[in-house]
Amino acid sequence: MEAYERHGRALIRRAVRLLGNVEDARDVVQGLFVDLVPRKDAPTDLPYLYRAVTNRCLTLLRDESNRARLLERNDGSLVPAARTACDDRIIGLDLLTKLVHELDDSETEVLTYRYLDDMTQDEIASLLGLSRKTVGKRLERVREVVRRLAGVEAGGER
Amino acid sequence: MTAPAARCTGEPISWLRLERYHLGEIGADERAGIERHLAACAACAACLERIVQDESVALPALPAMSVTKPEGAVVVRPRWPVQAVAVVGTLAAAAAVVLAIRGAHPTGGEHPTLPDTRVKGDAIAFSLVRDDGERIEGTSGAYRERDRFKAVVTCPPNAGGAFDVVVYDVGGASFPLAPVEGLVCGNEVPLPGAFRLTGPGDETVCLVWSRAGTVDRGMLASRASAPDATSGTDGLTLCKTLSVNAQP
Repeated sequence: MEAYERHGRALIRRAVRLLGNVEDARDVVQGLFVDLVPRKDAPTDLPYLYRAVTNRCLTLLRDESNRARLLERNDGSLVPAARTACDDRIIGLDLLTKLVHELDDSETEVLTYRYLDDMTQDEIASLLGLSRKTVGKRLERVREVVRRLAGVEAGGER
Repeated sequence: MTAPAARCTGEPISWLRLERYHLGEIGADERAGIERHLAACAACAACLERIVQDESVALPALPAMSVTKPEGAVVVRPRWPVQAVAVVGTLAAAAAVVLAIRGAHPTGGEHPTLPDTRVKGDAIAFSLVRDDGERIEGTSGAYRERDRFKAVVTCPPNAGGAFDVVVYDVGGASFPLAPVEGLVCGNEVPLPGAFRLTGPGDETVCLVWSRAGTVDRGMLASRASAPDATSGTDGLTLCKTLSVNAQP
């Protein structure tokens, strides 16, 4: 499949950054393409596939039964140093597995793009087809929950 | 995923933009801006360098796909090639436990349904496939501690519903994979994900299918041991009991 040849590595890298290990990342990406093959009209551009992989990773993270396994497999050397923090708090796998249970799906997706993918609010709005204002509101909610979970004092986004 | 923060000189170039930049999917103006930033920002330049270095890693092979069209329906039958097994530790297995589901007429799922048809003689079956390709096809088998398995399902194209895997051991029930709704059924379809059996005692691995689209995990978790194998129009349970084997 041409899209897999072209985008497969980028998508596996994306999944590794979220899941912290290569095995699960490959499973997620391959599962996506197995499902895409019969859908002749499915988009194959990178932003669409990137979002699809993101949502599959988040689904995996939401399942509590996966938490211990993912944390056990988490290989910090595979995950680049974070460039965007939430109130000086880096969103690591451990915190992320807690946040996915505190935030709804749309908030979790915005959290991921902002603090793990380093997207601007405009870039997130464009990717999700939302207004910048909506993205901002969801990020506010994300910050509230991160502060509560992490015990971080309220402050501005860095 | 908890690596210390790398200070960007301004607004970081997102990973998606870096990936698209690397693929040449960025327009000239935006590209020039990215290049100016990369020249001044070691943090973002290091991210691009990771992408460039990773490109030399072999891409795991996808399962070969064959598509047939019985009575207008599209049936996708993934078949995992030997090459894929070597790369991703996955091998599709032949079905061993075959139970006929009569009267099933599911709806939903991502695949087309056969119009006005019932599942006759088709089967839902599953096998466990170890990383090294060893298959467990019957209702019993052996494993070594920390063996990693994939669950491979054979199901009729109009099965629909939801699939789940539950493992019973002395500690009770656990669910090692995410439940799968809308599985594109076919011959030897691997469920997404893999799991390890850690022992030390017997482990009973069950595939559960619910035509209604939701597997009742609460009910399964409330059981102290695996349910008996069942099959019907609304659901099915197939189990394999694996004994620990310390021999390689």
